[in-house]
Amino acid sequence: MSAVIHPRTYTASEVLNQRQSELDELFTVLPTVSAKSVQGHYPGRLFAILGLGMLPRFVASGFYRLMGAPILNPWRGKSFSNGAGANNWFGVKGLAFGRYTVSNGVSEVDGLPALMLNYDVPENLALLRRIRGEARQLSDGVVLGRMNWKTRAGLYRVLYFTLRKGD
Amino acid sequence: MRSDVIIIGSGFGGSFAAHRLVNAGAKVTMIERGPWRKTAPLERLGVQVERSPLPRGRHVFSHLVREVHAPFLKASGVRLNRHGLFDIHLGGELTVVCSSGVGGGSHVYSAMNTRPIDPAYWTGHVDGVDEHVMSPWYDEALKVMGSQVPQPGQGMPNFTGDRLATDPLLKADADLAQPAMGYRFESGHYRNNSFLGSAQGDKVTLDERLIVPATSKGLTVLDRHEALDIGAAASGWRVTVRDEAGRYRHLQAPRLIMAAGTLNTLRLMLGSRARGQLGELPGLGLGIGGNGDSPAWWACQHEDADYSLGPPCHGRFTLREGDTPGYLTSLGLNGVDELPLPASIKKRLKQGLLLVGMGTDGANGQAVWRKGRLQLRYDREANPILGDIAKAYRQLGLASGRPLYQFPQWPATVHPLGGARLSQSARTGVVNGQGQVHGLPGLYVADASALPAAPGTPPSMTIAAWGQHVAQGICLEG
Repeated sequence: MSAVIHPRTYTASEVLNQRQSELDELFTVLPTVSAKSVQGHYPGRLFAILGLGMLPRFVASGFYRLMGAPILNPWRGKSFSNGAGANNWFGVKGLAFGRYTVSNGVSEVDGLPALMLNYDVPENLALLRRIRGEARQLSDGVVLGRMNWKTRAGLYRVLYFTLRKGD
Repeated sequence: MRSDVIIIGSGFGGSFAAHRLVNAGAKVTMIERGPWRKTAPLERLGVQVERSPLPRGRHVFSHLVREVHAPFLKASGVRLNRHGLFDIHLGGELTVVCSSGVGGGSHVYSAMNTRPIDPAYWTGHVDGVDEHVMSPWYDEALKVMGSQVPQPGQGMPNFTGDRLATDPLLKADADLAQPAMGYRFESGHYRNNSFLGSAQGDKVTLDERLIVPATSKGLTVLDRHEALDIGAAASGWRVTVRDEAGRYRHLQAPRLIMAAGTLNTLRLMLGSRARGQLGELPGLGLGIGGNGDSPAWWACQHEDADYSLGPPCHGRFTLREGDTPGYLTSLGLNGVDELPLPASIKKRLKQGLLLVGMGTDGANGQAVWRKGRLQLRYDREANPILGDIAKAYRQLGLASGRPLYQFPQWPATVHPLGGARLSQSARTGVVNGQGQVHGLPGLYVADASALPAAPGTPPSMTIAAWGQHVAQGICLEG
């Protein structure tokens, strides 16, 4: 007898409950993702936002759940195409804003291999060009990413996100 | 924290695997969701960690149950008390009771250390595993547990070999093989050392015998840490755990051994598979069994008896009339003195016997994952051993003229097994002859979920033997 398996996203409650420092540890142990393997549209969820770690876990996770509602958060995910990509707003295939290049590299945070999303591209506003994204494989079809903010003093973790391969 | 191997669970499979691995020089991290227990042997060993009292005296009810899982409760179950000794999994087709704490089932088991009923139990399942390969691991496990076979005339209270010599209904002749018991008979102490834990330490438990000594050789125990998720890591395997304060940690090691007990191993593996972290594993969940467990309470009310005395199990017996199905044992309510009950009720309980039958059921049930929760499918009618034991109990009740209570419509077991069973291929099971999951290098299963069939006897030594076999394979790989 064989079972039919439908990969689902990582248990949302377990990820949404975690602090940035805990997700840092998770991110460090995950395998990297090949830049060639990410193609198409990926619905996303945001969580572990800088500064919200002081909130009780249930409050923070409740807030992140609310952030999953389109009416409260227009960011819907990311899309990838041949070494480049963009954030999608107001829909999974919606407005593309906030572009980046995609390559395999080494994380500036932990020195381990990761998929690098570099926002330092001419199409972006100057403010966005300081963003450095990183992503690793959480499970089949699910990627855990984090958004870093580059300053002269170094990188700051701003938030984490998951991306799930769209149908 | 860098480890060569992470082991989830500290019962017979996990402890014996850890014992063998640290002796070979490996650094091992053991994850256990329950606490260390407050027992005299750990006191003597000077273990300096927070320990939870066993359920006795004023703690008897509050510390009895840790967690309850039921179809009508939330999927993750309901935690009653973090110090609780038992986890209860209520199911329509099979209910399971198991223990929680460093040392796993050794705190609550009946100390019977036996091999399977079938002398060729291991033969014919996979290449490279047979009695010749497994027998030395049983010998080692029996030696580690200090197991001894009680003999008539040794003065052990209520030993069936003595007590049933003149019984009109039951017998335990010298030719009936009695189980070895992991018990310090030399202590001469026979009270309060059974299902509610062995605070005085007369029953040998894994925490004092294996786990504490291993901590000085490279074993790190993360007690009160619950494993939530497993998956591939950059280097080997990842385990996500949560401690009692709700903090998450993510551990990584080249090798991961699942030994959390059948239900918890299956819950982790089925859940992780559903999240797309273990691939297909088509054989996962097949081969669930209850080892033919058939408990009954015989209110025999022998006036001169105090059956609460003796080691946790009094020994085996057979019926004088007719064939005896399976493997029948008698046990007293050892520990009844610790219960806050009126003296008259205690007296009645001391004069009755708990009968436990086991046998080789078909291990033909299935574990499935539905809406984020584990469900067990188990057809009582497809396992005739259960009906045979129930029939023998009915005959005994009728012949004795005393009430004998059993619950045939409520199948329950303390020995769930299978679901990640040993098999030649991934279609029919989960692990190969080294205990490694088919197609997933570095992931192993070393508890009763890997057993290919019901041993028909208490399975602790069979699990211990398998745990050592798995660990030895890892040691040989280097």
